[in-house]
Amino acid sequence: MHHADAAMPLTDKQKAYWRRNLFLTAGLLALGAAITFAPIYWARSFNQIEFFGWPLGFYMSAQGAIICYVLIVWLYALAMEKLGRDAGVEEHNVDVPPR
Amino acid sequence: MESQQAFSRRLSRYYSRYTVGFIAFVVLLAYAERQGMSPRWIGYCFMAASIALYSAIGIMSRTADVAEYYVAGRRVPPLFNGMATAADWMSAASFIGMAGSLYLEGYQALAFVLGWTGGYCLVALLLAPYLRKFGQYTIPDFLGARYGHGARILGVVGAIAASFIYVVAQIYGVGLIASRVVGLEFEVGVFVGLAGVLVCSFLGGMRAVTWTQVAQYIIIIIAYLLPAAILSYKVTGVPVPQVMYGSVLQKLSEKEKEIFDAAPEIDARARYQQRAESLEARIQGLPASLAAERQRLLQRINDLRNSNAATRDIALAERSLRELPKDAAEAKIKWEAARVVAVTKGVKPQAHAAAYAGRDDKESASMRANFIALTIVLMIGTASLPHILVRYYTTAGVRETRRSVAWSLLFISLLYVTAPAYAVFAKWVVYNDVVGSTMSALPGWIASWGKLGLVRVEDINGDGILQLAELSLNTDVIVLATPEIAGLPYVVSGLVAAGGLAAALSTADGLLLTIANALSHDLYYRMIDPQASAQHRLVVSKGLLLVVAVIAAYTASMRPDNILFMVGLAFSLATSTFFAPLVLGIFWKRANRWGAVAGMSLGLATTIYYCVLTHPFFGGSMKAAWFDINPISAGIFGLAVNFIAMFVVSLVTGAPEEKMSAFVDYLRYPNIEGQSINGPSSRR
Repeated sequence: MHHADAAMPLTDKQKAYWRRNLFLTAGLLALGAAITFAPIYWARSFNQIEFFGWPLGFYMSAQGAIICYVLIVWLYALAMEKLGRDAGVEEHNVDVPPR
Repeated sequence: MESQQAFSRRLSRYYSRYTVGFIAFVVLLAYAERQGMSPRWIGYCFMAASIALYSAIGIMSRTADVAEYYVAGRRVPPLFNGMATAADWMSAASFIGMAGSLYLEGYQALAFVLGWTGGYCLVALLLAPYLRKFGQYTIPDFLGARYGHGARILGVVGAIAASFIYVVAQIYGVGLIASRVVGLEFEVGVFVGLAGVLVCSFLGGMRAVTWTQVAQYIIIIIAYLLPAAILSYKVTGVPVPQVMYGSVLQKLSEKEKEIFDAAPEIDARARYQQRAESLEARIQGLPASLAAERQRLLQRINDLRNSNAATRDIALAERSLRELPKDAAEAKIKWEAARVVAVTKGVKPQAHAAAYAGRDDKESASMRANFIALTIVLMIGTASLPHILVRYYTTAGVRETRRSVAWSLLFISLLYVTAPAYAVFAKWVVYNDVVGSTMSALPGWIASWGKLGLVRVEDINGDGILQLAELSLNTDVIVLATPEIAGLPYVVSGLVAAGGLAAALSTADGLLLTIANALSHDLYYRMIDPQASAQHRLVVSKGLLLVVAVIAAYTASMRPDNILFMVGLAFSLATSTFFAPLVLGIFWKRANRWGAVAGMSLGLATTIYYCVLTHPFFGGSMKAAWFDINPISAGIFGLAVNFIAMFVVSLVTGAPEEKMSAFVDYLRYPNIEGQSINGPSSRR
């Protein structure tokens, strides 16, 4: 049922776009995992450090990691827009479809 | 045709007027309260105004168009889809329960904060853009297109199981708020909530739900941030709770040391320990101990009567006799529950910020393992719940979907970053102003919430003073009662209740629609009658919506126990069913239908098996647990089994057909030359 027109071979530019996307995705997810799980695993050691009144382990899981998640997701959205433009794979039609 | 920008501007205009109007409404009620309006009427006003507002939006957004009904016409601008997703996501559990869990469990409850926000990284990076490019109507649709009918059916089963459990918990939350704020019977409140859900979703489907959810988000966030800001202002002089609670946490740690080690506290805890031991002995001595207990109470009533004791004491003794379990089986359950409560109260509480403070290294290690497992299950569950994923079908394109996930997470994190602050401020106020009061002069909120069974006090050591160990708070009470605990005007309580109502209703809307659509679209239209006309499909869809809603409300009105476990189960089910086939379907071309069917069914089966094995609700016990993991995180095993089965079975069976590789490429690129953005979905 799906459009045979996608079957044409991908260009090098398109393949490079997907490779970069995979690197970006893996990198950002690894960053997110590190920021989440390192302070959890070593929570007691992190909690020995004081951070503006908070024990650092508590702070990271209550606020620090969440701020990082927001940054990661925004970074991804903006970086992918640039990657898409460079590789010429962004959609051009962003108008509201007819109702 | 209106351009996306003009549409966005028009929406911004509407919703900013609405926000101003809402704030004016709250200010007006605050003024009315000063003029002597009663709390009950303020409650009525909030409840009536919210339901009227949601119905008005629901009726204005009615539609008979399939794309409008299922995916809001695919033209929701990113910012607004972000708000709608945030409201869809933040449930009664987030709004009412989370700050309470953080209050009671301190650091250990941060797994919820991490899981319920971190999951959006997975949604944003691994799923949402690709699902939008796919551009159909439901999540089983994707599984069906990528893997065929078998996976679609399993997807329908998983979507219904996870969403139904979850929607029952939301409607229960509505009943709780309605009974507290408006003073309705709990069961009546449940059906009022049901009406509130149906006016939105019934006439307008996803379109009505979307625009209502945006309105609900605005109420939710104001209702959550305002009391926290006032509380922060009262305690620290600065109304920014997220920044200020660090210093309060430091002072709280000092206060905790002082309270935990006070002599009356140690005495009260020792008495709870004794009670636990005597209950243990009674449970061991069943059934003889039950007869002895009955004899003891009868004797006591006789003694009281003979000594002309106060009528109140006699009545109390008679009540204990009436409430005595009827038989040994009932006694075992009741006494065991009481024993567990007494055991927890007999133990010295943990400092708020302390991580994994077990009695020994083994227990600490187990707490850490469970924290990690729960965080993973909640994250992956977040990225697997169908009612969230379908929200990303509703934007105009892949670019808009990426931005819309980013907005969602920003809006969600506003609440999640505030919840730990809320807990710390509430704890500070309770430890300072309530603990140590005399029993005869306790604040009014203890009695009013006590009536609902959410607060309990007991003077176990008989010194006439409330010790920390003698105060029991339910998780739900912290957010709902904080305005009263902090002595704020009643209008703030009404606002909080309106926020809780919005949180529960918005989530229930999205969930009900997901269930009804899985049945009507995936089961009926795709598999039973593919020739059905658009109009017929909508009739089926709306009929099913009604049926599912009534069943859910009926289930909620029976007040199921273990509501928190049920929500946890919903996440575990979603985790073990959807995540692997969705992600591998996009990132691994070799994944095939046999792999998906094996992975999903074995994953689901593993999770259910583990719950039955370990949760007392199914007669299991933690003695049978694997790696000491609690049943709430059962999904972690299902997830692993799902991935392994998908890899192994896909590799030993044949590669998918050639055109599947083209289909996956179609998903991976927002646009490959010559394709319109709506791709296959332009077919109606």
